Amino acid sequence: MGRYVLKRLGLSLITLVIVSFTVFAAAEVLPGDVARTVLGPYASRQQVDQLNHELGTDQPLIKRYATWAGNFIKGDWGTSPILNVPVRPLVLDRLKNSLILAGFALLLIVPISVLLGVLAALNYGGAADRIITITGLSFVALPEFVVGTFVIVVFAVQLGWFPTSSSVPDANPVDIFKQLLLPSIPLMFVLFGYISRMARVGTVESLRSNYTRTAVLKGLPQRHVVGRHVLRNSLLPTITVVSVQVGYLVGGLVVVETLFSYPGIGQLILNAAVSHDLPVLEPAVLMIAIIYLVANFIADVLVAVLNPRVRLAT
Amino acid sequence: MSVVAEQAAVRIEGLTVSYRRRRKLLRVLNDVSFEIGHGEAYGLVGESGCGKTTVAMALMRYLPDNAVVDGGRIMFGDDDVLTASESTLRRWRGDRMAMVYQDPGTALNPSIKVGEQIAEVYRFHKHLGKSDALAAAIEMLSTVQISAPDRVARRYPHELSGGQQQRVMFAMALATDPDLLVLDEPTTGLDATVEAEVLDLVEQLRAQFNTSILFVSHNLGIVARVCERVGVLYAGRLIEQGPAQELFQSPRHPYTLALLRCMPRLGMRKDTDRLDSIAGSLPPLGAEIAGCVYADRCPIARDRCRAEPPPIEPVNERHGARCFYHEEVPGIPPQVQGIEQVPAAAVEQEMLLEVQELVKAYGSGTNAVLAVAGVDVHVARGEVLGLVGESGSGKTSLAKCIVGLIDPTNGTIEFEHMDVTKGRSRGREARRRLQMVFQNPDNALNPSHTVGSILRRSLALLAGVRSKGQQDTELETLTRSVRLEPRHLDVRPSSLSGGLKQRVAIARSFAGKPSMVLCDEPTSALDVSVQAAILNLLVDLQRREGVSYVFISHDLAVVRYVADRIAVMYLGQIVDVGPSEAVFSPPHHPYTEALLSAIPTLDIEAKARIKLRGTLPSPSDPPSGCRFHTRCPRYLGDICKNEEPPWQDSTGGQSYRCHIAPDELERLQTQDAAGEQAGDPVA
Amino acid sequence: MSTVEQSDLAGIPGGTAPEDVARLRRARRAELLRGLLHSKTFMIGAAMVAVWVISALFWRWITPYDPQAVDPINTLKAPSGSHWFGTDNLGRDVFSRVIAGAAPVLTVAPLATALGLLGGITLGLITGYYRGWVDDVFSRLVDALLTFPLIILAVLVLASLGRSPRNVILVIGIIFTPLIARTVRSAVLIEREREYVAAAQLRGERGPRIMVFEILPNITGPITVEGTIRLGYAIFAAATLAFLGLGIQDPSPDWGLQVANARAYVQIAWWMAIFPALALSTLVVGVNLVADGIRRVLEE
Repeated sequence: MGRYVLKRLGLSLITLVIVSFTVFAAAEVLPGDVARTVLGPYASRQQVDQLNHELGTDQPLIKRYATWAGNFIKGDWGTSPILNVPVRPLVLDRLKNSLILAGFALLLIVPISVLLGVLAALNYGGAADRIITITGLSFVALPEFVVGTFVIVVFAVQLGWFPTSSSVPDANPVDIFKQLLLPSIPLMFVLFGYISRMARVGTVESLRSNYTRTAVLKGLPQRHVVGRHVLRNSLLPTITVVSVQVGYLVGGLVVVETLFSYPGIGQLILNAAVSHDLPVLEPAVLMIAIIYLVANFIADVLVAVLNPRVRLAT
Repeated sequence: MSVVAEQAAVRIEGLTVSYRRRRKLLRVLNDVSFEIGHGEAYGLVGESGCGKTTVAMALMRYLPDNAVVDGGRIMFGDDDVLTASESTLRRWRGDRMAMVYQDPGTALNPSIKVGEQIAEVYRFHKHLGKSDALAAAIEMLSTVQISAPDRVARRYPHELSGGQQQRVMFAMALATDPDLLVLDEPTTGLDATVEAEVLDLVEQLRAQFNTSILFVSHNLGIVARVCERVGVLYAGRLIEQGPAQELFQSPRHPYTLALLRCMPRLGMRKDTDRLDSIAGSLPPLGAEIAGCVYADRCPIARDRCRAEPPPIEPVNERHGARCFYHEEVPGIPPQVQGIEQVPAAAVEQEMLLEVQELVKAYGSGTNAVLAVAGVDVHVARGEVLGLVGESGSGKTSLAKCIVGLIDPTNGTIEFEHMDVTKGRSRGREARRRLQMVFQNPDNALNPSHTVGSILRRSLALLAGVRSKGQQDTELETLTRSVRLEPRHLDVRPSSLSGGLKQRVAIARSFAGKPSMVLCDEPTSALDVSVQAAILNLLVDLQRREGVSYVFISHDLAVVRYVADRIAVMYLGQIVDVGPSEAVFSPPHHPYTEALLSAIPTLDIEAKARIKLRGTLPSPSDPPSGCRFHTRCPRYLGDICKNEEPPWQDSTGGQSYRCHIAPDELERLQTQDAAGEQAGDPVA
Repeated sequence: MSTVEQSDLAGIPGGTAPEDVARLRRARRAELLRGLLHSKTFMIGAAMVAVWVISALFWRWITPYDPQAVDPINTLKAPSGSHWFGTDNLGRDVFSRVIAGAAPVLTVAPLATALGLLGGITLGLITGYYRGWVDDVFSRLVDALLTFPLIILAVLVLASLGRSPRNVILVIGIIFTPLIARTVRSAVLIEREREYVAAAQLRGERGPRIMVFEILPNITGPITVEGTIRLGYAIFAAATLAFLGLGIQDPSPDWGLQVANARAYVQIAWWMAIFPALALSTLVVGVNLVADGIRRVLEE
């Protein structure tokens, strides 16, 4: 087990390095003269070159990457030339906000999705199954800004139950719901689609397997067959999917945060990308990647704990 | 025709089952009736599609959703399984009736420890507490001959070998001493020696538990060994039933007779005996047939047979056959008259294939697994070399190296004086002359291509025949040689039966007129009657074209029938090689000896089983010295553990690797055979 | 009785008399079609998609008003008899703009998907068939790629490359390539183990020919399903990018763009946002239903 964990950790780190380099290269190499963007089209060539030199954008790529990576690890993320604030507190603060929103959405929707997915499988081919499946299928298709717009128009504008834009909630449940419920609905729709489908597929496969047949032929009560034999194996793929969704979620956050004017990291990234604010953009994107890798790692470990084959094979 | 005296344990009366497929009802079982007495083992045999698995499932009432029981009762004492309530059924399953079926690897839950899976039965049926149940489970594990049961109980299924997994299944099934045990092909897919062990276990357990058994299998030899009475199913109908030995010695239904004649038996050789086969084909599923269901294929069918469905006619008190003319059955001559009048191609001295010191390793460094650990083999022109071995023997890797699909790690392969060691460097000549027929006809033909295009492609690439006109001519000869018809050319393989598909595969390999064809289990996936036809075809082609074969099969009876020479492989090495008859009779390698005793055979002089100790070692960690020493019943001592055995030459051109000299070995093996007659167990 | 067996053409399931064989071939294709027509999911989805395809093709003749016609007097009017979906902040008829908006999305998304399929199938075939180090490197890169959500990647690239429909097609297509390649690769890995591939190798067929002529015809099922699902994503992604201001620019009637523009007016003119949003929903849901219907029929 220990070896498995270490191996996974190692792989994650390698991936992290690759990702960080890609992010860096993508941001810096793509056309878009940084200094020019900052200074505007009327600045002189000299001024542009001067700023470029200050920013270090005239050095070879690898060297710049190494410097940058070093700084990142040290925690020295510099200052935003566009916003003129130190980067690190900004990014971390926004990240925290986003995690609150994402966490809220996940907490609400994951248990429901898994439950409904399993129910659909147990009712395979029946009415409940069709409803849940079609609902999931439809929800997954709706872009977040579509759902968000509906939700704003109906609940915020017409009914007035919620504010049309959200801010970071205070620590009490009422305010949390008030601020976070609407923005998390678009997220929950898509999550529901994926997670319930995976739970359903996993459960159906498990129900059809030979070992379920053995359990039934042993005369074990239905409750026990499902609870002990089926679910263990059917939920394994679901865990993986949930972790993948965590990564996806942050993408959804870009849209949702923009739509609801929520001060999260998604919105930060969008603005930074558009305004070529590299010192903000790069760490922000990298932080998202790290979150995703951590989620994946936890999922892998969880799978190993639950699946003896994986655990013992290292 | 009923079981004498006491009330039967299980009575199946008039069972009729259909499957709903695309809005049509297809009848699978038609008025099947039989009984199983207390403590009796009843064998149910038949080819694929006859409905035997449906019977087994119906007994447990575990039919798929699209199954419809049109009629009949399954009486368990005074209760009808088919009308029992769900809760009653649940109480009975695992308690009064239990089932063991094939592929134990998938039948056990991979996430639950083995001990717990057995303990569940005790917990829910005997209401034992957790620790008591586990203790009972461990005891059951030792009853099924698993060593160190307390350790095994803590393992997960994938950590056990196939044989051990199946024992666990038996432990679960017999935990509650059920009245009925249903076995559905429990040994299919297991190695021959493992299969024999499982069958031994069944016999032992019968003595201990006095359970009634329904044994469903396509393998007549196994059923003959284990069961007292047998029923034969054909197209969903029970067409013959009676005591096992009597039924197999003197069958009274034309189908049973034909089936028995399709199987290669002891002493049959391709040069002198031809396998019988059954003309025509199975009626389509769910077909409505007036009259006898076998009439279309029956050599003694008359008008009456086609008009009126025959009832079961009694042959004697215990034996019945569903045939009006069953008395004529013993007199039916073989359908295939003698052998073709083509003289057997003489086996020349010229060596076609020379393999020297072939090594194939997977992985590298310390993790290297030697699938083939230094093998020398040669095949002469016109000769059939049978290659025999169980899983892990390396025969598949060897075959793939010979044919060029993979490259060996070391050693050389010379074919017709060309160096063909590297697969990729083979020219067209080498390719066309050395071809292969695969095991699984479903997989071996591209489902998206028509038969015609598959064969044309082979003609183009192997025989260099590219112009359409020439192809047409060659195609005609080719299809005729494998007894296909022109209309088969326009269809895709999925429309063809297994036997036909295999013919196409054979035609494909013969397109370039090869001098050697490697046949990898070419008949293992086919029914017995179809197998016979394909074997006949292969033998004919060999004789006519003077082709050599390397014939791989796990079925020793088939190999014995078809091969001129035999090589036996164990853990990557050849341990015994020589002319067929020499290898099959003493002196021969102890592993060969064990393999032979493991074949379940219909023939009366069944030898006592030679039990091998331990389990098959993993190829990644082979034993020192003689690789077989960990299991050999003739283990001498340290010499076997420390020293690699030398090649011993025996009479008749046979060689084997053992520390025991031929004379001594022959004496021991024949003495033991004689001792067996008197009932002595082999060491 | 003749010596050797006659045709044993009848297998057991659906065993056939010889005459039926040719009929079987034609029947298979017809059967697939019939299965699709019977599938409610497929038909409903196809209907929804069809509506928008027709709109995209024929909007010039269908729309009651010119989608770009500005009318300063009639701005922000609620839905009424003359303007079924109301008017926007520039007085343009929302209904006409919604109909016309089908065109941009149904141009970008299918092209992007096609690009992704082209790259994905090629890449998937190569990595699945040859495996080896190419495959290892590829898998590692794809995993790395997936660590951040694709929207972010698209944002990064478009912000630098400039916003235009062409770039959106390129970005989505390139992002789809490894994703589609993954699915194709899995399918190829399975097919590869089947013996007809070994038989082809034994015949001396070359790698590329095996990939294209032997394996590819047998994986069209999964590819079709994947392609249809991706089409749904492409629509989704293109609209989202437009919404974020990174795709097509004003004054295009693109739905995503319409919703973005409508945000400022959502308190007073909800119809500006809702109708384009509804249109987008129905299109994407339709495509997904079609994909699901196809998948179900192929699975039988």
